[in-house]
Amino acid sequence: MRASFLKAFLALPLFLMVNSFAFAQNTSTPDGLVKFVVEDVMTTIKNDKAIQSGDLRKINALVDQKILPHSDFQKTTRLSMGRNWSKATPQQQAQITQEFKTLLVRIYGGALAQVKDQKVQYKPFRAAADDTDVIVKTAVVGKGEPIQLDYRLEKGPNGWKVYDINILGAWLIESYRNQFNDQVSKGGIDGLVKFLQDRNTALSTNK
Amino acid sequence: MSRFFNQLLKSLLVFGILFLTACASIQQTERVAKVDPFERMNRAVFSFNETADAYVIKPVAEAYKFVLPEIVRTGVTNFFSNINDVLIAANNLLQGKPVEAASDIGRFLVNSTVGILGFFDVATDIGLDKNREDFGQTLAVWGVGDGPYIVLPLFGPSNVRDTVGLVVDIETDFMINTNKLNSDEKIAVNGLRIINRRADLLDAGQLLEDAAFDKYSFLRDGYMQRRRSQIYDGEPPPMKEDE
Repeated sequence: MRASFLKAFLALPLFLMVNSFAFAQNTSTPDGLVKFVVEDVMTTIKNDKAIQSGDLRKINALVDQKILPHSDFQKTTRLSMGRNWSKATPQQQAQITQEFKTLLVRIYGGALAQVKDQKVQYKPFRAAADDTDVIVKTAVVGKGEPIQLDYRLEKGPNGWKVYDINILGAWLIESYRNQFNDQVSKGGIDGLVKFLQDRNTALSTNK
Repeated sequence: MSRFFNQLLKSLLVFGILFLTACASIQQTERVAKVDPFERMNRAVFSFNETADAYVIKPVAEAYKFVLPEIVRTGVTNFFSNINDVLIAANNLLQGKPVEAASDIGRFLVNSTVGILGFFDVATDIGLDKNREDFGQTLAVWGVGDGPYIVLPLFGPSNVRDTVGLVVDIETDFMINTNKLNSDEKIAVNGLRIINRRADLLDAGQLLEDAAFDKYSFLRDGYMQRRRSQIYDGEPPPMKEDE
């Protein structure tokens, strides 16, 4: 009698904990995952003075730890490259993916440092239960007009991964299609790799 | 003999220009050629705009941003945005969206009174969200296609349909057509409007500069996507895969 009471007493907080985890981090649904990652990243930034002052190393660490595990950056790069992707060797593909990632982290990392009193509004999520490619719509509300920010996710063997984002109505991949294609038609795959490397070097020495 | 040389030189020149033009159009992919057949001309206007911006508009906007505190600039943005809500309501009506039009009018009434002549956007706080409509979008809803991409002097990215839309927007614009202001006052007020708008975009400028491999085509493709999204009020159907 006493032992079972004790067991129940001990089990209760554990049960509650597991339960609340399931509610707070329901990352098995795409909208739950986006909400979890966004809130996690925003809280981290708001509590970190170094990130707010634009410390690139800390921003990179934040992106690596909290954002990249939930994104499929190779797919982003592959789709941005379009038909040119198959012209690159696996080694070049890895190189391009890495350089493109560095470039985007640098560009949008600066925007992360601007996060102060903004809030994120999550739009009603609509998708069928068996969808494997969905869009989660949000808006960043700060001073001035809300900024539309949508995420496109695909369900893979390791769960949902973000592979495209939409800022103010323009998808990242669609925006980069011609950018990649122009570089490839100018200087081939090698030219594109060199262009990306040069751009990243220029950006890291400028600031 | 010298006449012959002259003739030869001339035909070489003409040939050279034709050859260059041909080269330039060969450079475009089929997909780009469809949307941007006037790329050469557009690029020329684009660099004119870039120069005008770098030497005149941007420095003034930077000074403006430096001098005025954020709360004042936000007030100016809200003021012009509020007046524009009337036109947005009209466009929503023309697009067959009376509910949205009513919301726009509601915004205008609330912001003009409680929001002190529109300087404060209280309507958004009480849940009347701002809509973005213009006559170019209305034409699109009526079935008018984009037409070729056009970079307008000073106004920037547009297309044939949106250029017509812009003309109508200007013709119906309160701040440009009101008879409560004389022409000097109109220039001052609309100058403020332009500089304030440019100041709002200053932060995005560097990001664009870093993100684009080629700023011209990056802006073009971004403009076309954004317009498409606006026309469908943020819910565009998926694009046809043509590549």
